[in-house]
Amino acid sequence: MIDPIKTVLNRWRSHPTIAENVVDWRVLAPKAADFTEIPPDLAPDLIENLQALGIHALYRHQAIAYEKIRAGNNIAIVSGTASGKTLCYNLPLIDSLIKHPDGKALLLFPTKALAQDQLSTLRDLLPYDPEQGLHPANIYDGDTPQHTRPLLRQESAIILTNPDMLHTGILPHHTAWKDFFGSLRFVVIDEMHSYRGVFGSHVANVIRRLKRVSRFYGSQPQFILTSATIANPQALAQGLIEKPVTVIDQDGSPHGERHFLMYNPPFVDKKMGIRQSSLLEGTYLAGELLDENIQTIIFGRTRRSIELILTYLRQRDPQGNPNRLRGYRSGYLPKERRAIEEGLRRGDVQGVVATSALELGIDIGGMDAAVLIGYPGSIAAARQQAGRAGRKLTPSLAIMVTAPNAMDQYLARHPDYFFGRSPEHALIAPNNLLILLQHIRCAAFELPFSTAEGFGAIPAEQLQAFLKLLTQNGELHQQGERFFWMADNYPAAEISLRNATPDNITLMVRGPHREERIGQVDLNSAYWMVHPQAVYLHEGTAYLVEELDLEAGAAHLCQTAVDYYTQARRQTQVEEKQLLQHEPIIGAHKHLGEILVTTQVTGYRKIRWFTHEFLGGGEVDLPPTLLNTIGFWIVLDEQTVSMLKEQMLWNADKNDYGPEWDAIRQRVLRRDGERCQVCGALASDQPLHVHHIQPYRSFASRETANQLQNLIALCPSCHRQAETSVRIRSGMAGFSTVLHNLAPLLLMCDGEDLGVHYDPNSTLGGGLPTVVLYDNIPGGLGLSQYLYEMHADLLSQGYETIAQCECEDGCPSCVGPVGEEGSGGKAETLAILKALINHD
Amino acid sequence: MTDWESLAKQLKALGMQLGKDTSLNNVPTEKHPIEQVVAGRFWEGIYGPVFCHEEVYARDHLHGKKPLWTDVPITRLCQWASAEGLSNTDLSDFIFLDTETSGLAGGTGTYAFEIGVGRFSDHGFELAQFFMRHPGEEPALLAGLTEFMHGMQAVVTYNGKSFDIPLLNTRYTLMGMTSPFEGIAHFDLLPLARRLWRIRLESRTLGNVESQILGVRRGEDEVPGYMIPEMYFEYLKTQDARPLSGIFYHNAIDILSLAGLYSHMAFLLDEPHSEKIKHAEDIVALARFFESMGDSLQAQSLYQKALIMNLEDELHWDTLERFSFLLKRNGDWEAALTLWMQAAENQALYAFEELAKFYEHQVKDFATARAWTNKALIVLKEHAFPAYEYNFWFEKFKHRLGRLERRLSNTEER
Repeated sequence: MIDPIKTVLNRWRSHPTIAENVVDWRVLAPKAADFTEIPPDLAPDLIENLQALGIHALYRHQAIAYEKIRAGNNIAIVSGTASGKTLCYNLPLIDSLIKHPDGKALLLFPTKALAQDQLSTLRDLLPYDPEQGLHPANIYDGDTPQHTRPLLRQESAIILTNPDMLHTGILPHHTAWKDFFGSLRFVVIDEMHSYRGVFGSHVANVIRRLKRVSRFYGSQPQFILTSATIANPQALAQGLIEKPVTVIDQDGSPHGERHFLMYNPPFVDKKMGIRQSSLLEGTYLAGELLDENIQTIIFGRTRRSIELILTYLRQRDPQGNPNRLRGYRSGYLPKERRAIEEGLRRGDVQGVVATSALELGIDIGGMDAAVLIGYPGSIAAARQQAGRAGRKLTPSLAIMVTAPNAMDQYLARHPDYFFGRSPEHALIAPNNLLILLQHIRCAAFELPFSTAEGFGAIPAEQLQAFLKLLTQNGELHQQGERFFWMADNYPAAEISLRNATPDNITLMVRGPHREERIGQVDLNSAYWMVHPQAVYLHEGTAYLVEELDLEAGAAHLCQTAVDYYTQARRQTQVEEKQLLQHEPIIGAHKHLGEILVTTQVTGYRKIRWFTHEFLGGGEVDLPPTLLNTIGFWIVLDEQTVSMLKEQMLWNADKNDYGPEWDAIRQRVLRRDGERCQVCGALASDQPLHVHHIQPYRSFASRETANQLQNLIALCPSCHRQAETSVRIRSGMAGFSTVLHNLAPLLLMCDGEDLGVHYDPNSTLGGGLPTVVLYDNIPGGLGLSQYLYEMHADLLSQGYETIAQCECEDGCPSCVGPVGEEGSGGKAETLAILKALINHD
Repeated sequence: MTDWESLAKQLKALGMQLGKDTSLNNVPTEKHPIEQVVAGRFWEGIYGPVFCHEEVYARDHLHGKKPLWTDVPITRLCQWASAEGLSNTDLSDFIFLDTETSGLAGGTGTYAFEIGVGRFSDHGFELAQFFMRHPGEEPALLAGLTEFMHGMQAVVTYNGKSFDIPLLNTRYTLMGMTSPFEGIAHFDLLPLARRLWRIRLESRTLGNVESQILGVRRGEDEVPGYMIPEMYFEYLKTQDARPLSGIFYHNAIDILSLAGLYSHMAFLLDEPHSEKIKHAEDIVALARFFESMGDSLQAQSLYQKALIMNLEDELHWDTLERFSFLLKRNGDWEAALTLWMQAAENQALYAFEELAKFYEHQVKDFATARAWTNKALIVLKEHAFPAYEYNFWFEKFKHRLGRLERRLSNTEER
C-alpha cells in the first residue's frame, strides 16, 4: 500500500500550479531507533510497570539520562517533540523514590495544563497500592482546593506545580512543607526554554529561593531540566539553577522519512507584488491532506485566523463530522482542550487548527502532517511546530506557507537562511536590579539573611548593599549579624512572575433561555477581539458582539450569519510623563524618562470572507489601554537631519505629491473606470486610492514619479498589500528596527520585553525625528536605563551590524527584510547611525 | 557614598519608589529600654534572657461585670471542643493565650513579638507577657512560652485555630524547636461566640463581645490592634519603648477577656435555663446550640421558653419553624401540629405543606390533606410572593394536589 503522504507529495510534485510555488523541499532520511537495554539495576517494580506499558527497551538518551542522574549530575535534556523526553526524568526519579521511600521530588511546569497532562503519565509508572491512601504524586497549584492542601503537603512524595505557585503559595509557607523540603532529592524543570526574558529572570530567582529554603532544611536537590532545541541549553540551564549542568542532546528515538516544504503563494498581480493569501493557500493544502485521511495540525498566527481556517475547512466538507476537525487556542475552556487533546491521541480528531498554545509540550502524540501558515516569528518556534509532525516509522510532512509580509518573503527567497540558522538564544537576566531586589525581599521574608550569606550568584558583600538599603527603607531590621523582615505585608503576593494582566473577559452567548459561557479572553485582547460589533469566531461559529461590559468582565454575544469578519483598528501614542535624564550625544540627544504608551481600539473594518473585500467599517468607543513605563529615546539634531538631506539620504518625510496631485488623481480614477485594478471593487462602494507603482521616493523628480503610466487606482485593501510589497523603508524605520533587534542582546532580555516606536515628527522629540525604546512592562524593568547608559555601545554595534551585513539592501538580520521591489533603506539607516557614532 | 546609597540611586533612576521611611535619620540619642517602661524581669533560659511582665489577679476579680474564675462543670464545653477527656479537669490546667504580631499577612515573615498567657493557680490568675526586644530574641521568647505551658492540658484562644497557633507553630519550626502545642487540646472561643451571639450582636470581634457581654470598658492606655505592628517596627528603629506600654495593656485585657469569656460561656452551656440569662435571643441561640449538639430535650425546653418570650417577629416565626421540625423528627406530632396551625395562620407556606403531608401520610386523610393544599394555593395567589418563591411553591402544591386528586378518586372508585 502506498503511504498517503507519499500519494499527496507525488501529486503535488507533478501538479504545475502547486510545484512552482514550492520554493524549497528538504527531505530528512528515516532514522532507526537507537535502543539499549533497560538498566538491570532499575527497581523491579518499575521494570514491571514499564513492561506493562509495553516498554521493553530504552532509547539511548533515556539510558544516558538515567546513568548521569545516578552519578549525581544535574542534567538538561534537549530533544525534539515526542522523543520520549518525559521518561528521561520520570525513570531516574521514580527509581530513586522506590529505593529511598522517604525522598521527595518537585516538578515544575510552565503551565497548569501541562502539569495535568504529565500527572497521568507519571502515575502510570509509579507503583501504588490504593489501600496506602493518598497517591504519592499530586498536583499542588492555584486550583487545588484549600481543604485538601494540608494532606497533599504531608503525604505527597512528588509534587507537580508551576513557578508561580512555588513563588506565592509554597516558599513563603515553607514551614508547612518542612518534611517535603527536608528530604527533597529532585527538582525537575520541564520545558525550561519557556523561562526566558522577564519570566525566566524571575524564575531563576525563585529557584535561588528554593535552593535556600531546601538548604535550611538540610537538603540539596539534584536538578533535571528539559528543553526544546535552543541555541544555548547549557547556558540557560546553568543560568537558571546556578550549578554545573551536563547537557544530553543525543536523540535515540526513531523517525520515518521527514519532508519539509517551504511554499510561497503565487502572485495574483505580479506587477503590484500582490500574492494569493497564505491563509487560503494553506487551507487548500491542508484540505488536500485531510482528504487523504492524513492526521494534520494546522498552525495559524492569530486566534482569529484559527477560526477562519476552521470555517473554510468545514465549508469544504459540509457533511463531515465537526468533531473530526477542531480548533485549539487560548480562549477555549480547559475541559474542551483536554477533550481535543484526548481525541488527537486516540485519532478521533483528524485535523486540528491551533495557535502556539499547542507548542508547549502538551502530549497529543505524533501527527502525520503540520501546516504552518506564516512564519511563527522565531526559528525555534517554527521547528517546534513542524516537529509536531513526526511518526516513528511512516513518513511525515511539514509545510510552511509564507505570508505576504516582508519577513516571510525574505525567508521564501532565502530558504538557506531559514534552514541553516541556529535557533535563538534563550536569555535571562536574573541579576537585573529590580527583579533581584523583589526576590531578595521575598527571600528575606522566608528566612532572615545573615551578613555572611549570599543569594545565588550574588556574593555576600554585594547582597549587603541590598539588605542595608531595605533596612534603610524600613523593610528589614538588622540585629547583630542578621536581617529580619519587618513589614506587615507578603512580598510574593505583589510580584507577578509573568507580568501578565490577570483579568479575563468572559464570553456569554444569549441563548433561548439563558446565557451560556463559551470561553474567555484576557482583558488586553478583549479590546480588539470582542469590541462591540466585532464578529467573534469560536469553533467555527460566528458570533456578533452586542456588548462589551468591562466592569462586569463579560462580553455578550449572539450567534450570527453575517458573511464577513472584522478587523480592529488600533492607534498607538507615546507621551512623555517625566523626563529623568537627558544629555547631548554626537548628532543627537538621548533621553530617559517616564512615558505613557497609549493603545486604543478606535474602530473596525468589515471584510468579506473568501474574497477579502472591504465592506465598510465603524467606530467604537473603548477606553485606551495604558502602559506607564520607562523609555529611552534618541532625538536627531536638526543639523544631522539637514546633513542627511544634503547627502540625499533622508527619506522619512511625508511625501509631497505637489499642487497638481488632486487633478492627476482624478484623471487616473477616470482612466481606470473608477474600479480597483486588482480586485475590481467600485469607487461607489468605497473611496479608491491612487498608488505609485514605482515608489514615489525612488524618483528624482515629482513630474516623472507622477507620470500616468506609474499610477493606478486601487481599493484601500489592495493598496495596503501593494504598499507592503513595494515599500521604501525609511532610514528611521531601519534605524528603529536595528536598535530594537540589538537591544535585547545587549540587555540579555527577550525581544518582547521591549517596545519600539518611531516618528519623524515626534512630539516626544519636539517635532524632530525620534526613536523610542521602552520597557514593555508596567513600571518598567530597568531595561531603558541600561540602554540610556550604553547608548554608545548600542549605536556602534548597530552600525557594525549593518555595515558588515552581506545583504544588498536590507535583510531580517539588519534593517529588516527588504520587499520584493522597492528599497530596503540600508544606506539611509547606515547614514543615520554613522552620524551618531564616534569614529575615532 | 556607601554601597547601598549608590544602589538606591541606581534603583531610583530605574523608576523604583524608595525612601518612604526616613525615621532612621532622626533616631533620638536617648534610649528607653522596655524594662524602664514596663515592670518586669528577665527570664533566663538556654536561649538567653527574655523580658516578661507578670501580674496576679484575684480569682474573683471582676473583669467588667463577670468574674474570671468559674467552677461550673465544663462537660458541655469539652464536648463542643471535642476534648471530652478534659471534662473533669479544672481551670488550672488551661492556658489562655493571645499574641501580638508583626502583621496579619501570614507566612514565614510574620512573627509574634509579644505572647501573653494566663493561668489559674493557688495565687489567683497569673498573667505573663513575654516580649522580645528584637527578632534575635525569638528563640528565648518561644522557650519562655514553652516553659510557662509546662503541664498544661489545653489552650484557650480567640481565633487561634486559624491565626495564633499556626503562626507559633511556624515560628517553632523555623527556630528548630519543638512546638508545645502538639497533643494538647485547643478551645478556640471565636466559633462558639459566633454561635451564641450571631443573633444579638452585630459583630463578634473580641472587643465587641467583651464590651457587650462582659461589660468591659477599655481605658485610655488602649491602642487599636491595627496600629500594633507599626508601633513595634518604630520601636525597633528608635529603641524607644515608651509607646509600647499601650500594647502590654491591650494584650493584658485580651487575656483577661478570654478568661472571663471562657467562664461565662461555661456557665451558659451548663445552666442554659438560669434566670440570669435575660436576652430571649440568647435563649434561641442556646436552643440551636443544643439542637446541633444532639441534645434535643434541652433544645426543646429552650425553644419552648424562647417562644413565650418577647422575640422580634421574624425571629419568633423562624424559631417556631425550627422547633416544629425538631418535634417532627422526634415524632411529637401533636405538638408539631399546634405549631404548624399557628404558622399557617401567619401564611407560612411550609406549614401548609407539613399539614398536608401529615394528613396524607400519617392519617391517610386525603380530603383534609387536599383542603390544606388548596388553602396553600389560595394563600399563594392572594399574597405577593417573589417570582422564584411563588414558582417553587406553586409547582410543589400543584404536584401534591394532582396526586391527592388521583388518590381520592381511586378511593372513591373502590
